[in-house]
Amino acid sequence: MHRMKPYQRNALVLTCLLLLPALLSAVWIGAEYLSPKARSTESPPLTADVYRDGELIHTLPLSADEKPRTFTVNSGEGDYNEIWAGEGGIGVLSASCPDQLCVKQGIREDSLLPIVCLPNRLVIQIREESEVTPDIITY
Amino acid sequence: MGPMPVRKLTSLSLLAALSLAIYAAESAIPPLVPIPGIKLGLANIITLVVLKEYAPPEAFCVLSVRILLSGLLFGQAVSLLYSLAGGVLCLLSMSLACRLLDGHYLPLISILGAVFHNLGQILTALLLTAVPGVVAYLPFLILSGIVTGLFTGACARFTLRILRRLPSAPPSAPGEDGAGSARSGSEE
Repeated sequence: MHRMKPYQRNALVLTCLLLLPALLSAVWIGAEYLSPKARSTESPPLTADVYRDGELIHTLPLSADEKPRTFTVNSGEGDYNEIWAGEGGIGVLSASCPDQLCVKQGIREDSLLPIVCLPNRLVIQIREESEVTPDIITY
Repeated sequence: MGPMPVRKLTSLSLLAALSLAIYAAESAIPPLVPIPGIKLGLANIITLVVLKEYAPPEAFCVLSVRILLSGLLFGQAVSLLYSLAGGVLCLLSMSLACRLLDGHYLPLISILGAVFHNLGQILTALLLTAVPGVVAYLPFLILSGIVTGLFTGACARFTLRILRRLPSAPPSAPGEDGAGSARSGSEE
């Protein structure tokens, strides 16, 4: 076997360095979405936290006895997000942002991924009310 | 550094205009997946081409012109911040990779750039929204960066192959001949 050139060795190292986070990501996503908890139908009561600019502005219980409600979060200069919250879910109905990604994220019913509207710096995070300790902490 | 030769200035300006056009065309395509930050990043093809044909400073010029102009033309102040953070991290990582790999394995360089671009976006999102929960998007953005980086890297290779066949092709970097690119193409 002939000797590797330095750039070939570097390529090997870089590939390995890339494979590591890729594998971790795949395992993470698999564990989050295929875990029995994510698939269980009887979920604990959910609460949604609405943040604007990192500030908690609304806390909404998403239980069955709450009436579905719609409200608007204004983020200045005519920017807004119209939010619907009802039994077991929350989502953005309409927004002023150009990409409309927050609207396309639909009504979320789990705490896996927060709804984000980057242009309006709005984040909606669902959490499980009954749990005292969070199931995952990410930094 | 002396004044830039007219030929080089013109080539770089053309490439910057081209990447701006590609960026505009891409932003007209509706997002494929409802996850913020996932996009093809086709404008990075031009950054890669400039990085390969010239050097990191030239690539930085073209990139910053593209980001500033696209921010002025279509974006908001916030999206400018995201592009800047992603773009700078992307170019830094690609420059380093390009040096380590002697300019070979273009898709690998591109994948690294895409992953670092997405990392920059997450960091900006983290800073702007101040909600740690947004990090939950990181695994998706790493995987999507690998896929889109592979795609733009392959596109950049084809673009280079075509550019070098043109009679007015940009001068190759010193120490690199036409056969070098053909060889690197068959090596992977």
